[in-house]
Amino acid sequence: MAKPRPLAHAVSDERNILFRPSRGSRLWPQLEGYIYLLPALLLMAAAVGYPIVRIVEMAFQNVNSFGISQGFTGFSNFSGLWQSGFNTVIATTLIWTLGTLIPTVIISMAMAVSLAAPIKGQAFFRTITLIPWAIPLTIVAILGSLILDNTYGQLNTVLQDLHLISHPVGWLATSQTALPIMIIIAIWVSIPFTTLTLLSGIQAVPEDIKEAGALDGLSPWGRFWHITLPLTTNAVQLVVLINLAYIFNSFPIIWVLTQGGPAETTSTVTIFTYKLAFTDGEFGYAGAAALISFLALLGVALLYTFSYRGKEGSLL
Amino acid sequence: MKATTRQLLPAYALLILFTLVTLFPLYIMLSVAVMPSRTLVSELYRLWPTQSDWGNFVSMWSSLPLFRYLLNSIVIAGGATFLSLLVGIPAAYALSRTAIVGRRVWLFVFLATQLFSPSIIIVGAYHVLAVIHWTNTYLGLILLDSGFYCLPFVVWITAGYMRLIPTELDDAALIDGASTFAKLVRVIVPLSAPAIAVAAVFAFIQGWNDFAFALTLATSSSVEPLPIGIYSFIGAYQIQWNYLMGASIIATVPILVLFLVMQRRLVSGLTAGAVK
Repeated sequence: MAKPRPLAHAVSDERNILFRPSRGSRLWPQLEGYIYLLPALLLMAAAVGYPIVRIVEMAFQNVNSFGISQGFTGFSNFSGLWQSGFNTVIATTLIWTLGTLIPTVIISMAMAVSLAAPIKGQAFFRTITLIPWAIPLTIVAILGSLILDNTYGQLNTVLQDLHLISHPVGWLATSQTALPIMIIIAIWVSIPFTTLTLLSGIQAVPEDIKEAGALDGLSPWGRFWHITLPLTTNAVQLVVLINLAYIFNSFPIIWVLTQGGPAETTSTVTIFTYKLAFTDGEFGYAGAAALISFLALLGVALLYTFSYRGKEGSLL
Repeated sequence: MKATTRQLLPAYALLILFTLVTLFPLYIMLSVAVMPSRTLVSELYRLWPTQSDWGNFVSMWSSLPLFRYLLNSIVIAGGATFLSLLVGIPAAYALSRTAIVGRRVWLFVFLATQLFSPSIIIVGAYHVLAVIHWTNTYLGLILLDSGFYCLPFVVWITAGYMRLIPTELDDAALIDGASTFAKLVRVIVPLSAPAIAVAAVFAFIQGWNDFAFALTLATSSSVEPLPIGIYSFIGAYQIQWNYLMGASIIATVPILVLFLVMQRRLVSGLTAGAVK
């Protein structure tokens, strides 16, 4: 350490200039943060920004399966979508999304109220509630394909033992049961996050307000309707928004269990788009379908977010 | 306001029903995992198999390339976690403790990326990754996993926490002549350690659970993460369900443990305190 190291000093002086120029500058503090933000923006641009730009580009082009564009085609990819059954896909997506979202929120609210009640074994039930969330979704789906199998599936065994069915049912092979049974699985995996978020909303309701309700002689139902529900709107809004996006975009359950079958009856927009690209090599159509689904979801999400904006406790 | 047992009956009924529905698939997972291979075909449908072979948990490691899958999962989820923390912590610092222009816009943009389905992101990302030969590499998966699944969580969780650190601490560091970078490294990061730990666990879980990216990009067992590796055996002529369920338990246990450890922080972490 005896020798001075001019180079290091030069570097450190330069760093000081970079990071702390004149104290009087007003512009600098507003821009300095971008030095720290930039790497994250680059990563986001590479992983999300670029693919989205590419999707928009492909939606208006004739793209072969190697991704080479053969010229702009205007809106013909969009009109082509309708000829390949896109209206059925939209209907299936709506049934899938709302059919999962609404029961999830209702059941989770009941679960959250139950967990907030002075019951025995609270910690045990809380932990159990967590479990469906803690199993990787791919594993849930693989487990589902075993339990729901028509020849050796254990669900048929249980239902036959209980005399609820007389013959084994091909749950995933019949169009009447495939979508409903997958919706039930999706509800099961959505309940944990929804319940625990609603529970923390309920627990944030001040104790004295709950007691006042009890003193006023409100029934448990009346207390829920007039006190708990109005004071947990924040949490309800939040779980609706997050679940909406996750259910709408969900992919592994349907892909592993049916890949959209039988006869495309379980093909939601994400499944349909993925198949257009990677099974049919129709990247132009896939881009168009992706763009439509994203704009639809963004519209709903923006409505929700702006009704949130500026509320206490939100970073935005 | 003491609730009577009668009033609590519906609560117990609902929670017990949910418990049964939840434990059933877990029970099947375990009971199939220990079925001997020779009775598998004839007994798979049974709820109470007549024989069990716990040795399956040993023999499955040589029947499937499980060790490789497990290693792949750890490298990919670990790499994605590391990369997202490396760029996400400075970003969170910029968005919570500097006078940066466009703070709300960028926070919203990070959040808005979550409106896309990974199965759609991969449609846009596939060709360029194929051209630069990043399919079937760790790099391609780490890049997409960290940028899409991990980064938004890391930024939101750590920014929300950093914002609560009193500014007097920075000022003290400034008087000492520290640069903003030194301030970040010596003051803010150590004080944010709890939030960074939570963010790291979240990022790891997200990377571990990826399906769409690995399904598309990893077609060789040399990079397939564990869940995709197990999935690749579904649809085979004779599915070795006992080994696949054993492998599924291996894929689930680390995540289950992380969830149980994090139990109290899960909701506040995911919702960035928007509930209370």
